[in-house]
Amino acid sequence: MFQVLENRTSQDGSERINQELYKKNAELAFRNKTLLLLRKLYVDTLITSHLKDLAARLVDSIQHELNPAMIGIFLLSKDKKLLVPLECKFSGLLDVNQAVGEFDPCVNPIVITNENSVQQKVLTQGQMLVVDNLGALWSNPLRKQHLAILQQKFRIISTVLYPLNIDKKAIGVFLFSLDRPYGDLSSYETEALESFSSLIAIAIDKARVYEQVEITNKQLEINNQRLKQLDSAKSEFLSIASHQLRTPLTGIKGYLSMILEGDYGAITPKVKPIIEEVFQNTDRLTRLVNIFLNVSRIESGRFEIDRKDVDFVELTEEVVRTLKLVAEQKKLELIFHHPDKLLPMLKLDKDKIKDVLLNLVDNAIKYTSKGKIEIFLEKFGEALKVIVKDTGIGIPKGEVRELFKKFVRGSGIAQINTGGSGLGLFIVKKIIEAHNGKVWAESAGKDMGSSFIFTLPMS
Amino acid sequence: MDIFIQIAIKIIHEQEAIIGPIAWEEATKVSGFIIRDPKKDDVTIEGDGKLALEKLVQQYERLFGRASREVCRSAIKSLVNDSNKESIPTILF
Repeated sequence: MFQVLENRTSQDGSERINQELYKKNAELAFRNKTLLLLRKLYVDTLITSHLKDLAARLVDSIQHELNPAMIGIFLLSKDKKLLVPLECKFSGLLDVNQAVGEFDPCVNPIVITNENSVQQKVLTQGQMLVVDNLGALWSNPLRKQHLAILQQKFRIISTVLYPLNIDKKAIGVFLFSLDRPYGDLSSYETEALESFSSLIAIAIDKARVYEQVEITNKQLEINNQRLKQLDSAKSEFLSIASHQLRTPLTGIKGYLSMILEGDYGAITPKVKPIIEEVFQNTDRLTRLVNIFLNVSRIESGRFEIDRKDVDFVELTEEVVRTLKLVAEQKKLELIFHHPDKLLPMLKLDKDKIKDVLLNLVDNAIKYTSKGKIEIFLEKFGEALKVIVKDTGIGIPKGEVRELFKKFVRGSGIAQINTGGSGLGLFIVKKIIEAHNGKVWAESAGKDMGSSFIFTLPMS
Repeated sequence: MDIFIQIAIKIIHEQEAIIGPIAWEEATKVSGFIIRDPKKDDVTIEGDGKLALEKLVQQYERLFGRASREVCRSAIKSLVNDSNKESIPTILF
């Protein structure tokens, strides 16, 4: 008899051990499943960044693995008065359309009624909340009975709401219905649900940011396209207007020149300075029109280079001759340092390169009040290096790179030369680049003088 | 595939995740079950499928207690619907 009792006790003991081991193994199996599911959810977030698709994938993955009666992701509306379903599903237990009937909680927003409502508590306190009946969430009294029937049909015993928190602020909720009381869940099951809600919050937030960036990019693309069209229309207008202006200006200048030369008889000393002033202003206007024409040609891609053999020393001498008088009027020295060695002939568009050198030397004269302007020609590897150096107002360090951009003028320049267009150096850069050369400016700073340097390939 | 076989395989797989190959060994001991190749899920049920499923659940429960029945219930949730729930043993609800 003792033997029988002993055997029974031993059998009971091993049964208990078996059952305990089973429970531990079941927990491990669940944890393993949770980890695999978290990995799957993470992969889902990598596969898609479109908000709606992402939410659908996350909900599908959790539903496939855990099969809750109801699962949903609801986002807080901008006015914070609604929780709008982003993705929500019932289990495939029943024919959902038939079972859900007239009021489908998966397509109806949850209205946040007042400060003490359960929904508000989840959002403001940032903690999970359990409700026994769905009527507590969709609080329309007319729907309570319908929701109670629905709950019975899908065997929903409790529903958990997890806030989707980002930076301690709720952006929505994760809803998960259970077929048992929440209190019956093991600690590892509740931990799993918390992990899912954290991952969902991050994924949804990332997708929203991505969508916002996409919207902004599209808007920028549209705006950019519009700006290009406007720019093109502006260039076209500028080109037409400049052509139309240049023709009459040429006539005016010609007649003014003839008047000054006395072709129409002697002019009185009182009138002469006025005619000279009109002539100079017409000349300035013509130069401006030419600048605009060049810019519009550059921007419309009609800027052509007509290369011919050019003796650069001769070209520089022409420029010096043209501007010598202007420099002397300001009591400035204009010195051309001839190169030590003979330079080869260069294939250049002579008129355009002459414009470049004229522009740089003219600028140097304009922005130098005392001292000198020097021009150096040097061999620089396989290129010719041209330096126009002055003792003028210099360039503040931060402005050196910007000077060659369209409509950019150095600070302090406007006070000295009010009539500049801010296009001269832009055209210079385009001409030099069209010759496969480079142009840049160097200056030790304000009032320290400056050097404008460009290179042109000699081969 | 027969719904009883689908449910049986689902239950055995879920038990296998917890107790390993013993899950298949225990299933072979249940009358009505013929398991030819566990690796290929080659399972057939002879006779009353509903009764065989009930015995399978009881076989696990006898060895591992009430927790094993919960595992079986949880495992088959996705397979049960309005049209087939009458043929599922009540032990699984």
